[in-house]
Amino acid sequence: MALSQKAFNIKLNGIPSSNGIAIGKVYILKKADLIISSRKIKQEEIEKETEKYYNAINKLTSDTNRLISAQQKSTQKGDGEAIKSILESELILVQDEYFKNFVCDSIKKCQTAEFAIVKYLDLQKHFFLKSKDEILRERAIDFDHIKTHLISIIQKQRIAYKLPKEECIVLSKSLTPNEVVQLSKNQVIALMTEIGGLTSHSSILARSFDIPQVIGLKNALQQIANDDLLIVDGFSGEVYINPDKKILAKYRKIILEVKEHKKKLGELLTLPCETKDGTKIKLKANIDILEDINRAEINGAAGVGLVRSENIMMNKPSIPREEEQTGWYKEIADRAYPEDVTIRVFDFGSDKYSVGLPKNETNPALGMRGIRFLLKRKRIFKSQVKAILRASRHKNVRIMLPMIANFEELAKSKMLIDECKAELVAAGVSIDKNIKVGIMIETPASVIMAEEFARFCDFFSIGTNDLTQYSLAADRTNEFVVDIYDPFNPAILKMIDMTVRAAKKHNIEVGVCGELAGHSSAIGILLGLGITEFSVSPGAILEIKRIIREKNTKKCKTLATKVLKCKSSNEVHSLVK
Amino acid sequence: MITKEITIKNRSGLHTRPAAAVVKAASKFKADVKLIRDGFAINAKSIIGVMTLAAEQGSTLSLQIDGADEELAMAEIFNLFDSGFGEI
Repeated sequence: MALSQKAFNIKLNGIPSSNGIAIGKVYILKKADLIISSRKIKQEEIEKETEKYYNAINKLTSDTNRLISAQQKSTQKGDGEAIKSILESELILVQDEYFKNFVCDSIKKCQTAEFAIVKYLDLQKHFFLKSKDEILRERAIDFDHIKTHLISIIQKQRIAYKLPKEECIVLSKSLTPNEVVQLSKNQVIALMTEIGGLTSHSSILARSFDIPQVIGLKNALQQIANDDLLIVDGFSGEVYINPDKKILAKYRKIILEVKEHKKKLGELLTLPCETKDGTKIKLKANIDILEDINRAEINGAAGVGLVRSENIMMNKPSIPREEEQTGWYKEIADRAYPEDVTIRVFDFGSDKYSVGLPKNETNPALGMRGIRFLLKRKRIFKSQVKAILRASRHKNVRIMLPMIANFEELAKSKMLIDECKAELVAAGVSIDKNIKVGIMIETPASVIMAEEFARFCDFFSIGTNDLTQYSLAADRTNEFVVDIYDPFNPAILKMIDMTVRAAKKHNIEVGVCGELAGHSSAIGILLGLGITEFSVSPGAILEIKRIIREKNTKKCKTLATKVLKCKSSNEVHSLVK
Repeated sequence: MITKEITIKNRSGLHTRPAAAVVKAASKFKADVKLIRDGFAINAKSIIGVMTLAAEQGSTLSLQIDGADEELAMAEIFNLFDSGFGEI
């Protein structure tokens, strides 16, 4: 009796590159290796070889044009413009005169067309692989795709695959943009590849077609056989091979929940986040625990506006090491990609975390917290900044400094960040050297100094909770003064106005990440004050989006002008009711 | 002849798609369009040339245009770089 070699209940971890979950049988797309002979052709074959080359270019051109026009006609799936420009860029490459001349010259020197093509494109790929920039290195694969495409046409190797008629999940070593476009039309419910980067054209296309995809599944082809039952989780990057009933049931439930959720929210999820008159608004998610990223994705957040890093490490006995932190930040950044992620460095206060902090501060809110703590404990600060920088290699990470009250804090922090950058670069780590650094606007001093600070920041994020507490000198957890704590107080709204003006003057981004951003009656005022970026808890995203879509910028501006003239919170409240 | 400094703004740098956009724009004009990085000049009407620069985000290049329609070409190509190829 032959023993079954089937893998059972095995979990693989890849990189999630397109959201969604699929359960189904796998179809393995095998591609023949390209065999390029270095044989010399005879003098009399030159003409024929050149013709063969031109025929191939013409065939690729007409194939691609057909694909583009078919794609443009079926408008319901995918972002037409992105798909068109990706396919077109391949065309422009094969049509390049220099490329053509090189190949023709090589053929005249008795080389085969294939050999010349490979030589030229490999050289090009080499330039990209040599780059110090991780994103450009990832893009080197584009050349392989074009090479494969062109040569399979010359060698008349139809990329022969026969997809099963029923729904299936496709696994391949890698997928070319062309293949993704073709597969997207069929019964393919998810894509998986062993190699490939988040920034690759194939990943962009999978996201554009809304097909769940997991990439970077090393050795998946050795562990998965045709017809294996798989669960592909494009949210987390997990893939289960022949899962047991329990896991299947769990995922079937998640699929249903996602479907229900989407149905309930209806079209709101897919509609753009903009005002009635078309002002685009960035609506991002605040993240307190790693699992929040799931909720952010399901609700269609445009990235993460605030990672409260101190909350992620809540309940840990000590501050986690750089490696562990790198893991978290990478996970958040990669899953949010291509959207941005803003990580706020630890905002510890002695009320939140006690290790190494002064005990029994009489007034922790005015004590050793936020940036003050970090600048006193530079080892902690540096290891966190380095962990964030390590996660920044795809250039979608921003660093945010909390509780800035004076210029020295900003300057010292920026020096420390530069120091970390230099150390990592010297160690050969791939980072975003131009990582954006911004500050929380949450102290009255930072509002008053916003114009000066803006010159040294890439962005501002207004933290309305602390700004209200510090400006009105009222602790919101103190029942005796809780009625004084009111973010609708015109004093606070004026401060937001000052901050926006300073940011606009220096052309930096400004957003609101405090609770006020998630307050339905505040949206009109904030839009009117010129805020175009909101970061709220993941669960509030769609509700806020609904409200934003009902607003008219002009009316909001009128409202903001009125509000700024109010004398009291009550007047403001009566205006927004 | 006119020359202008440009900075690569989009985060994925000058990879295939933006390079194709540069070539498409440059090819519309009669003028010679060159991109220069660290003294190394390439013809901006050739995608292979543009891609050889492997210019990453933050790198600066000079855009040198020479010909009758150089002003128009400069405006259009500069704008393309400045807008981050619409993919920032």
